[in-house]
Amino acid sequence: MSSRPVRSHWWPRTLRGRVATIAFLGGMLLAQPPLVFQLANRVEPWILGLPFLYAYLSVIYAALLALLLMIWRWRL
Amino acid sequence: MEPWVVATSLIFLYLIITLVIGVVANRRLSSSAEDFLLYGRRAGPIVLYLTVVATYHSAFAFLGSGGFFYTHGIGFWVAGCWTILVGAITYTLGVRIWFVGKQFGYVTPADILGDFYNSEAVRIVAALVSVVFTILYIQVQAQGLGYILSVASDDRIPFALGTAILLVVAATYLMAGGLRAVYWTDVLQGIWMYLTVWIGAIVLTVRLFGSPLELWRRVALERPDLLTLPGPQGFFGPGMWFGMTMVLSFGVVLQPHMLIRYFSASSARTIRLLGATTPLYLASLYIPTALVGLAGALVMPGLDVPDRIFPLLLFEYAPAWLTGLILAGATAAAMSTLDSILHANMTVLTRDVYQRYVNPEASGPRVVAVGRLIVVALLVVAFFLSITSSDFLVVVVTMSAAGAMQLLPGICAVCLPSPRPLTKAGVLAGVFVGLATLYVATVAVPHPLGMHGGIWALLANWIVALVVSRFSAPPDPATQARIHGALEEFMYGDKESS
Repeated sequence: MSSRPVRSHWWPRTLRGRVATIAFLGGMLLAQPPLVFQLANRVEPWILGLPFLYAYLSVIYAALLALLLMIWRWRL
Repeated sequence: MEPWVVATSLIFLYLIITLVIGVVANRRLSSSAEDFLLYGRRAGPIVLYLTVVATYHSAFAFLGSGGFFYTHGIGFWVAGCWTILVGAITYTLGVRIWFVGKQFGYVTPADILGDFYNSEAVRIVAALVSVVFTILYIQVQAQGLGYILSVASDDRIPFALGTAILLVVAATYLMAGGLRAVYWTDVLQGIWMYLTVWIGAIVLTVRLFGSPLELWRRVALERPDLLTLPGPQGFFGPGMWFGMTMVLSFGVVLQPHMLIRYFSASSARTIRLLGATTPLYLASLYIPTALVGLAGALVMPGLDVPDRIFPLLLFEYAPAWLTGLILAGATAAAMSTLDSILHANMTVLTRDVYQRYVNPEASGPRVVAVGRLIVVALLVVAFFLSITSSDFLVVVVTMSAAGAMQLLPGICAVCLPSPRPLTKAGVLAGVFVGLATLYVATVAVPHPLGMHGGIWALLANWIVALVVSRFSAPPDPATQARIHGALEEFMYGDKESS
């Protein structure tokens, strides 16, 4: 049995961990209602030949995927 | 040679390859129950990666998602949200689940909750939730397999016979090689399904429209309602969007066939790598299925069963050999999930029922033999489930994941230490209220206020669990110190046991 006092695991303990968590939740929020319905629910302008909603979501997903890789690289 | 002959032959060739893999896995199998049930907790990153993605993506991803894009438009690109969330859950919760499993010998979700709360009631409820809701998932995969074979053979192989053939093959290699056979076949299936869905979508799009970008332009001209929310039938409202994100991430991860993958990992590093990288595969699979569904909406409107759009387009517009390869890929998608669910249910019943209550002293070979018998029984159940219902694939999957999600508050209480963890009474009350709410919010009054029923159920579950925990006895302090102390040391100690 460990002698370390047990503290809450619900929130990261390092600054970098907290920043990464907030960034991830913020990115996810941009892809969730109400923001996605208010900001991105349209066809135009087309971006790289894709309708706006699809491109908007794709960009957010790409950013979140990159963030996950950074979190892994930083060993958070 | 006629296209259906080529397609059916390639599917059967694929089935033979999986059986050979099962035989080879059998030769590597030891008499240890842990080897049969958990791959000896030695799964490395490549095997685990491919088995996780192949298991997560099923007939639902291969057929159901094309059908969803066909019917509801690009609202289904919400799939990116839940697949990315799966990665984050794996990274944070999965690594803790792996650790407690390795440290305390857990094999099933019921092991985790039963040990922490030192309660047979909690153990039984967790085992029941695990089995009941994943059996629904077996039905989905079995139905998917039946559809694929009947479509591939141009209805010459009836739905029921196709289902039976593919179920028997999956059960055979599972019984032969245990989880090792499942993992090895998943490696093949994971690669096959990913390549074929991409190749199929690109070939169809280029043949029909010249390029993917031209397809998007044509959709905007002819069916602009497919390019905005909530879609032509109003399906993707805010509540459903948020609900599917939560249910198809947390819910699927908490199903036993996914949790078992965490238990079987060789190290914490492997789990973290999975968390960071599996969303790449999981999310990107929905790019080609969007092309398929949208192309289908333009060239084959008005289908009664939208899930059939991919095979129907292939038969009409792709060469026979490619159609066969792709339908074998669809078979792979369904079988890789089906075999994992069969294995998970077998593991839960063997571990939580047979070893716990029937024969606690059973030897390793005895446990393996009982496990194989249970697979046969599950095979029969799966077959009858698949031929007695015909619900729309995604709806059934969503309900089954929402059921498994009711274990989330309890699992979090164990794996994410906090000053006031949920109590046994709290967890039990929460699960009962959550399941009752799930029934009301999905069957009696489907998705009240436009919010997915699974979200109402989880909300009710968590509130009740918190309130009841406030007024009931906390978990045994020694057990809490043992498990939470070990987790504290593992996550924040000087050395990680990875």
